[in-house]
Amino acid sequence: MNPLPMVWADLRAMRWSALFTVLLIGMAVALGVAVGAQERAMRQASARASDDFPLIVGAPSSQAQLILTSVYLQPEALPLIDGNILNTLAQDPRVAGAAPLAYGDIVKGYPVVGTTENFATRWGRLKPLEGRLFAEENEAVIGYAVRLAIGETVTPSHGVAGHTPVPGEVDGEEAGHRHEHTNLTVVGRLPQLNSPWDRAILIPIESVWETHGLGNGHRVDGGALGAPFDAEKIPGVPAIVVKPAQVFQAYQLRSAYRQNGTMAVFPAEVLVQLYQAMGNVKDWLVFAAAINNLVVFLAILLLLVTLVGLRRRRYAILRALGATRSYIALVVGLGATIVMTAGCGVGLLLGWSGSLLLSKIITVQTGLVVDPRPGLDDFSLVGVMIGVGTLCASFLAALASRDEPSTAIRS
Amino acid sequence: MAEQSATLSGVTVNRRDSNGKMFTTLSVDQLSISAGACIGIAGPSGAGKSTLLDVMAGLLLPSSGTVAWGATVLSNLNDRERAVWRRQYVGQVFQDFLLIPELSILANVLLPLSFSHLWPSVDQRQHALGLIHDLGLKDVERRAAVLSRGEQQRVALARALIMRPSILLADEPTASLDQASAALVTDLLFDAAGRQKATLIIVSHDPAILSRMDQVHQVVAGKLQEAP
Repeated sequence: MNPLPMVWADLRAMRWSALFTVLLIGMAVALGVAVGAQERAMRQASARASDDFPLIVGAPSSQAQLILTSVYLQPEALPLIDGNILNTLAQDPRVAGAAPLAYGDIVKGYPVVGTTENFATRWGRLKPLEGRLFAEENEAVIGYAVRLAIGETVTPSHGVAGHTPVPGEVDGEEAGHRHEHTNLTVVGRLPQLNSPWDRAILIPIESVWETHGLGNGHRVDGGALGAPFDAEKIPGVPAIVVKPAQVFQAYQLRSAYRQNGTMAVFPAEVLVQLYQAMGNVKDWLVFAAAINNLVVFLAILLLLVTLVGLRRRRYAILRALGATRSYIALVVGLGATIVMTAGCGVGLLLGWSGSLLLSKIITVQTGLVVDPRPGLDDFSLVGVMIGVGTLCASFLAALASRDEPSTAIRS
Repeated sequence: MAEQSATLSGVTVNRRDSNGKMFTTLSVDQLSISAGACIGIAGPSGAGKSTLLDVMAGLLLPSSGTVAWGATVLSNLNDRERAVWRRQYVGQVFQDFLLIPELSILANVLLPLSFSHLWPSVDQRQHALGLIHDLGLKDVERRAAVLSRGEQQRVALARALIMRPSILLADEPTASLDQASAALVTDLLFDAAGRQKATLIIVSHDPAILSRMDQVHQVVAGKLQEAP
């Protein structure tokens, strides 16, 4: 048997209802898919961004804020820790590398971060895409997405509490808080990291200290940049990124720097806690989306029951012409399944598109490159939808072929 | 194709009224129809003519009695077997044509084949095109919804003939047609029945049709009577 001619005729007859149903299912599915895809992409993007920060040491305060400021460059004034810890870490055999991070200044809305060459190259992993690394105070190497040219000279401004700079734009707040005696010359551009650090301007930590009148951390001016720093001259720093030599030593270091006026955190560990919270939120959102889907399906089922009721005579004609109940069931079931599958397809596209759009907005706002991709979860959700749809279709099919043809034809 | 004679014995169809009380809508003591005969069924509206046709088509099982076509007793067949039997042996034409408006002329005519075939064979398609041509219809891809009533009834007739049935049942086939179309459809029905040696049973009020029948039966208040 071939139900396709009648399925086609049915879909054509109820084209507006079918289109409405496809859109309704599409929107219901899109919600669930978008929630899942976005959560997955955020998780991957945030994990990727924290890869370069195995252990962060800062002053005791909020762990989340330390990570938000260090990894995601969200502007916030962090309490300082004793700069001498840098020297102590540099001499610790358990440490493969340690670098200070000093924030607070901005140039054209981009955050300026004071650090060392070691961290700028992520301990030798990165090489500038253009130009070179900073070799002197007042030189800067910029992130991939910073809209400044090599050779350009800029003046940093002091970040102000409560100010939210827009990357690439100079606003009144920035213009009013210039460090007039400091000029930074761009000497290089780093490759793309797909993290907020693509929008950072990296300068020697000494420049940050000098700009703020704290000296340069060394006994003499004009010497080599970076560690070792002079124990008597070194100012405090907001955070230190530590690269442990071995994994087990990471735990030893964390224990060691969790006391005596410091706090040590594994960003990955904090993110896992965050993911758990996000996971719970996601579970609730998925649950809400599932309830939403159920309501939509019930509404659609009612709509289809009504439509099948209106088509009783049509199916009775087929039976009078020699169609079996199974043929009618196949026509109704296949029609409903096609509509529901089309709705799920539309839902997948809408969900992924929505997630993509949301990701672009997140990237624009935070610099974190979120890359949502289709996942198995999405297809599982759609599979469940089509399964439920097929069950509904079977119910409709049974309903459609129940009538006595003689009665229905003359109804 | 086997010619089909029919025998109805002690057939009654009972229904319940709105108060749940049982009443008889059709009663046939005995009716024999020889193979290839042309039988007319006449009678006032609501007398039970269409019910009789439904019983003979196996669309409605009688409350009592038997309907046999050749050696086949319809009440001995299950629902699926009756559908297959109808498809193989019965061609039906309805007063309201009952076409599928979204399908083309050709697709409507080929529709009964889709109940048993994945795709029509070349021969079956040629047969359908031949029927459509013989019935004077053009442009087979036109949708049924845009056809005139006369054209729709001719498509319905072609659909009834596509399986080369040995039984042709028509329920008021000309009632909703103008005089010219009615005459054309009547001629086509008789021609088709004659060509296929089919047993033709027509429910009608139209004297022009009834006058061409071998035998005319009256149904009055649900009771079948042979016409004088």
